[in-house]
Amino acid sequence: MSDREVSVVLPAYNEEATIERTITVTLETLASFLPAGSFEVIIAEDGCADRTPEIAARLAGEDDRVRHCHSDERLGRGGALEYAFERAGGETLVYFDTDLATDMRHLEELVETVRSGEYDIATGSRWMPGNEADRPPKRTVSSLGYNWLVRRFLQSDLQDHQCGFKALSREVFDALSPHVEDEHWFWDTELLVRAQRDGYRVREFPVEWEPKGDTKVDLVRDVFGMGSQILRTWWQLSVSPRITRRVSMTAGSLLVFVALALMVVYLEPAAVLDAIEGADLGLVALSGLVYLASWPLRGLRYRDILDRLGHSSNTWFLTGAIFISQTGNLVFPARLGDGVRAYVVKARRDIPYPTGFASLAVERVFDLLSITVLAGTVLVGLVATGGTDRIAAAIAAEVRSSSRPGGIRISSVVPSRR
Amino acid sequence: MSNDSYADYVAGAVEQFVGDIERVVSDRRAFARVGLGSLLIWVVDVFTALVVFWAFGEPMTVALVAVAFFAVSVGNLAKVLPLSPGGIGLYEGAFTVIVVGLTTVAAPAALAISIVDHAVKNVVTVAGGLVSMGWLNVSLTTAVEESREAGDVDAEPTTPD
Repeated sequence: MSDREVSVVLPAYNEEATIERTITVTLETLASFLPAGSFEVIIAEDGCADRTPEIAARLAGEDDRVRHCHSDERLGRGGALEYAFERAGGETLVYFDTDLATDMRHLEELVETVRSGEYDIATGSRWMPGNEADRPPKRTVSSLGYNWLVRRFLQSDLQDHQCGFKALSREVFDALSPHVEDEHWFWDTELLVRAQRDGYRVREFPVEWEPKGDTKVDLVRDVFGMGSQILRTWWQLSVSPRITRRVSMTAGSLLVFVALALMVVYLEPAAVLDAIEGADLGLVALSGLVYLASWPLRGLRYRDILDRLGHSSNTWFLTGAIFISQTGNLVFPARLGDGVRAYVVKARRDIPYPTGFASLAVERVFDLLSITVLAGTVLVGLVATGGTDRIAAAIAAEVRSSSRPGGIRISSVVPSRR
Repeated sequence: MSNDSYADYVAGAVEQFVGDIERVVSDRRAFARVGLGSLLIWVVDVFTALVVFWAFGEPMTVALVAVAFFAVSVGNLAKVLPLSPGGIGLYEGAFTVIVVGLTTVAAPAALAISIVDHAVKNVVTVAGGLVSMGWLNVSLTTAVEESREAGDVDAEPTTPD
């Protein structure tokens, strides 16, 4: 295998009708510009349901330049390409679609661009001046839109990312393939985007391209599937490295600050402070005691839930565990404190993590249920007495009378209408 | 790109989640105990708010009690969105709008009551949390780190024991 310089991989999924001719044309073309014995053609047959595996095995048996790379399960287009490249012997890795939609006269340019060491990646383009693409309008729109999104969001300089006609060096493949996550149609784009980010030299050149009948492309998958992949890659490359815990904390706090600032626009801060200062401190302390009384109830409820899930524990210990996790939820954003409780009961009482997380979910469901029942009961009463109109009126009035100090007063109390 | 293993994972997680809730819900006694316990917990939560209303000199009326139930519930529903630590701001906002809309309490007083009510609850929580951390010898930062890792491990579909 060491004398192979160029490995051409042909991803094949149910291609029994075309695969044999494709192989013949590919071998002829490669032989026209490469020395004999310096190239191989690998059929990356991807869990085919038709006769493609048999044909591929026969071709591999007849010609030692042909290899058959078989997978029982469907790997997806990108997955099949990776699987085959890992097993290929060449330093220059090439692949193109088996329907030969791209004119094979471009193959020499594709291979030599990378083999010469001038570039790390070469890709055919249907969207460059000088190309000869001729395609139906539906695909034109979706393809142009797609490539525009990739350039915008993923900072790519290329005109066409999805042309199935590419070559890359072994070095690029080894460096990037562990980071490329998509295993299907987005694999090409992700590879090109990551290569540009990492400073590899990418050459795009115009090709003559002619769409073939059944290209296994559909609009829904393109729009939703590719769209979600663009977002995912954008998130990974541009957003997520910038989100540290500090940033999310700052963003959350900023949001609250804006909310409070908006409130202050409509309410006199001094009036609010006056009201707070006027409160009876003894009664405020009493409210704290009342609230404290709810905590052993939480511990008791948590004990009941864990008991039902097969773990007996102590109410006071569980009250403490809930205290710690709720404190965690206050200190950390995004309910990170929830996991704290699972940790405490695991570390101190050997209750397994799945049960810890599940019991928490049960508790949350009951909490939501309870407050919804409570709110719902009052809401029904309000609707029956026409009280909801008053909330809407109050919000509208508050906006209008925002300049008046002391805010607004509503003259009547809800049930007085009854 | 539909990813079958991801779909399996989601299905597995949902199954476990539903299974565990079922175990609590399917038993009538357990459901009643946990359900009543939850209602009681939230009733005490509302009583806390009512004592705060009292501290601000608001006369206790049936209407105020009803509104307090509504304001505390909706305030806590608003907190479900994990936007700020402890839902601070969200609770106050929802609480104030409801109280102003449905009672004779003036807007500044309503906001003041919501702030004090939420602050009292948070102070009690943090105080209880600090005491419990000392008592159970738990470091909050360690707990967060460890449980995050555990959360990742937990992502493997597992069957409830």
